[in-house]
Amino acid sequence: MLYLLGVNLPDHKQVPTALTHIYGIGIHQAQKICHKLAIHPRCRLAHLPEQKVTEISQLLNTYKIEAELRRERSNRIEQLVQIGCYRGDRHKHGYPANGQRTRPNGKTAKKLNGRSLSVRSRGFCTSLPLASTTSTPRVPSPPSISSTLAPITRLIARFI
Amino acid sequence: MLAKGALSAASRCRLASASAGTLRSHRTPVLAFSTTPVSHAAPTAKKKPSAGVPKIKRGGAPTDNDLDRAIDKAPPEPKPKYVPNKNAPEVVVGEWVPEKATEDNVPQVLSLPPSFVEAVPLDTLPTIMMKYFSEFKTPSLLARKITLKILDEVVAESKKPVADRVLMLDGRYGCGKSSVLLQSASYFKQSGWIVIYVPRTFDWVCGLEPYAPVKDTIYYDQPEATAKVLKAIGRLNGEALAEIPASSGKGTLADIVQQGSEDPAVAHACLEELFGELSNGGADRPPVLIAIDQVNGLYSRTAYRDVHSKVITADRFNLARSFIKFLNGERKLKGAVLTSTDYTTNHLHSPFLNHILTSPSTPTITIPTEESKLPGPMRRDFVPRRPLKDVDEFGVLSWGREGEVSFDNVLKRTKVHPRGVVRVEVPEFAKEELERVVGYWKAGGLVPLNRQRPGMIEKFYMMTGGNPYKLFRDLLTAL
Repeated sequence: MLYLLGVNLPDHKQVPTALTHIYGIGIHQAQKICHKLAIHPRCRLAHLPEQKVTEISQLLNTYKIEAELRRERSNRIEQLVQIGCYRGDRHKHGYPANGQRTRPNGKTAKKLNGRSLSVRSRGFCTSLPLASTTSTPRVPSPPSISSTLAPITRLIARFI
Repeated sequence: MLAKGALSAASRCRLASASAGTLRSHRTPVLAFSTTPVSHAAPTAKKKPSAGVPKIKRGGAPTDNDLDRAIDKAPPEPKPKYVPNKNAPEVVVGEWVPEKATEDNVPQVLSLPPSFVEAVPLDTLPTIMMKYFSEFKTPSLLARKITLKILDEVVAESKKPVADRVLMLDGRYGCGKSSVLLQSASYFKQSGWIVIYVPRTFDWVCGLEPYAPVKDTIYYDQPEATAKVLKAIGRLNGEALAEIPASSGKGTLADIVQQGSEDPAVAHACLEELFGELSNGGADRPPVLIAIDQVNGLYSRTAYRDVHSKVITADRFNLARSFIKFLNGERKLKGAVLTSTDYTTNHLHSPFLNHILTSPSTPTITIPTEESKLPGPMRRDFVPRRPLKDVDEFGVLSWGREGEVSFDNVLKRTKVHPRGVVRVEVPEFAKEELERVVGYWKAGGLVPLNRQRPGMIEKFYMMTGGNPYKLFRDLLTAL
C-alpha cells in the first residue's frame, strides 16, 4: 500500500481509481491529475516510479483535501447554525437541508447531517443524552401559590 | 324442486360429516401420491458472501482490517495469453515455405515455420488470431489465392527502385486479413528479406504504455513501447541486421537495435537511426518489408490526454510517426509496405482511413471469384462510395457516417496522410476454402459431433457467408 499524505492507497488499483480514496478527490479530479503529470490511464499504482509519486504528492498539496476540507465543510455548517438560518436549523436537528420531504424519507439526513457540528452548536437534540451537554443542570423552582391551588380550583370547577 | 342428481342440503351435510374423518387437515399438507406427511423443505442455506476484494470505504482512510484484506485479495499476476492446446489431437499438415506458395497448393492448410513462431511470439498477435491458435497444437493457416496475389504484388513492388505504393488489406472483420499479413511476413522472412512486422498497434493507443511529452514540441514519446518494438525487430531479423554495418560507424544495425531495446531512454533515437539506415539501403542489401497490422490505429484517437485533458491522436506519438513516415512517402524504401486494417475494436476507429479506403479514387485490387457470393451483413463502418463533401446538393451538412470524417482532426494534417494507397480486397472464404479449413478443424477436434452431417459445409457457408471468424466462434460456443 502506498502511504500518501496520510492516506493508504491500494497498490493494485489503477492510479485514477486509487487517488479517489483520498477525501476530496473524485474520479474526474484524479484523471486530471494523471493528465497533468502524463501518467498513462492504465498505470497501476505499484508500477509508478518514485518521481511520479513525488509529483503527485506535490500536486495534491495544492488541493484542499482530507482534514483541511473536512474542517472547511464543518466550519461552513457551523456558520449556518450560528447565523440562525433555516439551513442551519435543519443541520442542527439532523433533518434534510435541501428541501426534501421528511414524511416518507429523511433517515439518511438524520444519520449524516449535524455530525460535524460541535456539541454547543447542536443545542437541544434528542439524539444526545442530557448528561453530555455542557450547560449547568436545571434547578427546580420553588412552588408558587397558583400551582398549589390549581388542583383545588379544578375540583371546584367540576361541581359547578 | 331439485334437479335430478342434485343433493339436498341435508344430504350434503351428511356427506360432509361422513367424510370429516377422512378429510386431510390443512395443517399437515400431504401430497396426493404419498401416504405419509411430508415435512416442509428445509430453508435454503444462506449463501456465504463471495470472497472477493472487499470494498474499501471511500472518502476516508481505510481501517487496518480493510488494508489487510485488500493486500490478501489483490488480483493475481496475469496469466500468459497464448497457451497452445496440448490436449488437441495432432494434425499433420505441411509447412508454409516459399516453395509451397504455388497455385497447386492452394487452398491448403499449412503450419507456420517453427523458426518464425519462435521469433514472433504468438502473444503479440491480434487477439482473435491468438484465440484461434490457442485451440490447436501447432499454429496453422489456410493458404489462399488472395495470399498468392499479395505475394506477387509485394514482389512487383520490390522490383521498383523505390516503393511508391502502400498496399492496404481491407475487408469485413474476420475475413482473414491478419492471417494473410502473417503468412506474407513469414514468406518474405524465409526468402531472406528484412521484415519489420508490427502485429498490434492497439497496445500503443489503448493507454497501456507509459508516455511523456517531448520538450518544446507537440509530440510525445513512448520509450518502453519503442524498446519493445526494437526487441521484436531484433528477434526476427537479428542475423540479417548483424551483416549490415551502420553508416555512422557504431557497429552494425543489430548493435543499434540491441542498444535501443536495452535502454528505453534512447530507444526512439535508435529506431529512427535504424529506419534511416534501412531506407538508404543500396542494391547489395536485402529488400525490406514493412508489415503493419491494425494500421487504422496509427490514425485513430488514443486513450491518452494532454495537460489540458484533450485527446491525443496517434500521429502525435513519435513511435507511430516513425512508421507513418513510410506511409506518407517521407522515407523511401527499397522493398514494400504492406498493411492491414482491423475492425474488431472501436478503439482503432479511424474515420479518415475509412474514407480513404472507400473513396472511388483509391485503386482496388480484387481477385476474381468463381462463384457468386451470398449477400452477407453490411460492414460495420460501411460508408457510401461518394467523394467527401461538407454539404450535399441541398446545402445540408453531411451527417452520419459520411460526415464523420469531416470531424476527424487527422483530416487537417495533410503531412501524415498516406500516399499511394492501394486497397486490396480480402474476400471471405470460397466454398472450397471453407471445406479445407473445416476438414482441418474436424481433425483438430473443433467441430462437434452433432454438427458433422452431410451437407454441413453448405450449411456453414449459408450461415456465415464464408466468414471464417464467425464460423470459428460459432463452433467454439457449440463445444
